[in-house]
Amino acid sequence: MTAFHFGSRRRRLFGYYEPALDETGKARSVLLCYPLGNEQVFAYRTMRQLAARLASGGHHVLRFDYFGTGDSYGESGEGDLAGWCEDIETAIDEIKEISGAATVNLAGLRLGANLAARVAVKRRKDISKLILWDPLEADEIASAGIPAASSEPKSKLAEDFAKEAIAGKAQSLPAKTMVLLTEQSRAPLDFGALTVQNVPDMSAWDEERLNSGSIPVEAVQRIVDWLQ
Amino acid sequence: MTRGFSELAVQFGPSASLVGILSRPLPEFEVRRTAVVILNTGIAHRIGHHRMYVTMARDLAKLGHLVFRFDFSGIGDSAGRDDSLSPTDAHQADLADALDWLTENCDVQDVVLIGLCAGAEIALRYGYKDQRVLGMVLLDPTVPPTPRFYAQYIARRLVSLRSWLSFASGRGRIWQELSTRAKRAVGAEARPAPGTMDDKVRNELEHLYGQALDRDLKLLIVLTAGTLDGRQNYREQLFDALPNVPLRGRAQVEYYKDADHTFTAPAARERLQELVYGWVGGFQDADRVAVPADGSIENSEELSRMTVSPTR
Repeated sequence: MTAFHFGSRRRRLFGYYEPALDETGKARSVLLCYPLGNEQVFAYRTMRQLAARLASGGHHVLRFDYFGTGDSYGESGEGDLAGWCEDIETAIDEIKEISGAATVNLAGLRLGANLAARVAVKRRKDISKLILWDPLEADEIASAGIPAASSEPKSKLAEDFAKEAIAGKAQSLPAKTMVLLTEQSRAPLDFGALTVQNVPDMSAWDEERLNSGSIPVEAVQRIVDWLQ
Repeated sequence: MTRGFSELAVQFGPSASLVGILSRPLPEFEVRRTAVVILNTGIAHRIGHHRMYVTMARDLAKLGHLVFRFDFSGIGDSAGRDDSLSPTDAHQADLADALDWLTENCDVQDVVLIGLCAGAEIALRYGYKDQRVLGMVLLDPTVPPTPRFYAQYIARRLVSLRSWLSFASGRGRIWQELSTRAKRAVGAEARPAPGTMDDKVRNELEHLYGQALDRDLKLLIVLTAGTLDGRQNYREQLFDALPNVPLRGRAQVEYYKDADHTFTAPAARERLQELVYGWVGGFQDADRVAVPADGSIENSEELSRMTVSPTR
């Protein structure tokens, strides 16, 4: 396991790499995309456990902080959606180089899911499977810590973000995309032909997860199973 | 020239299983003698709530300090320990490993510890035992309740609209709570009965603060009272709660009446940061500390991939 910085001098990113514990056959890799703000803090333990289980299952795993978040360089409030997508692309290149894998599985939680979806469309040839874990709906921006982490005016951000909602965009996403829902959506959403799995549980990014030290075990296992 | 900083990801400890981030001034600037170590808040990883510790570490690095934020074993990115230490003892051993790494790799001899909540408790338990520790910033450490605390708690509950509605509707919890706390407020339980948990906590805190003062450690204690169910609600509560320790006049105690436990409001965080920067800056610089030999991120692409081998 290696903690390190990567990326350009302009956007220095912090990452944590876990090599596959039991690698057989060609290299397989997973890039984990965090949620934002305190949601990242509350879900950190879950994402770490997910990474450990994926590594045990034979995947090379990289998780990282977007620019202006976590341990990456940049001030809080310096980020924007386009820049964070650029960071995911940088991380894709990084894990391909480190692991030797030809393609990458992308798994994003909350805002990380929305960003991963956008990048998966752009970098289709690099992506094997895509997991969208409780992606943000268009009107959730205020509660997801995004305004505090972004340099864009809230109105502009909301406008931009509305374009990132997953529902109704199934046809543009990779065929091997799984939507994992632990929350009850407020309204039925159209995920088209995408695989949708429902695992009712307390949200991974809930503060109670941090206070109790618990993780959503079944949701984590569904991801591991789906990537095998 | 604008002062800058660089950061290094470090893996350290007996099995290189602990993960930390060292923030440091750029090489062209002098490194101040006093280094800062920031501890986890509970099981939240090293960036802290609202990324507070990242901001604090980088600002202090720009001011010339080496700053180390790390995850205790089993928290954040740090693995659990291989030994059979209790969580309390493991935290103490992890902290010793962190200071040893700083000493062996950066020649650090003078350290200030910063901790919030459980982090403050860990600092308090550790600080007096390590000669390298010169001071501690304790953010919302445990403060036992006092009769005046209970009286003010009741008063605050009674003026809140929600409490009035509950009170008027006769809901059991409020009545029961008020009854219990009212008994304490009139002095019947001014000092917990000997041998009770409250009494043990109070005795232990008095012992730990006493040890810190005996070692002449500098203490900056910041108490928040911005939430209704907070642990303190008046400025002098710490002094009243621990009457057998001469903290008054020996520790700098700041009372943030409107801040919550994790300093959610940006204005509260900014106020706290300025306070901490000034306080840490007050330690004397006797001489220069060696800069880690690996330079800055501007100089070395290799450094970005560098992890540091275990030193013990």
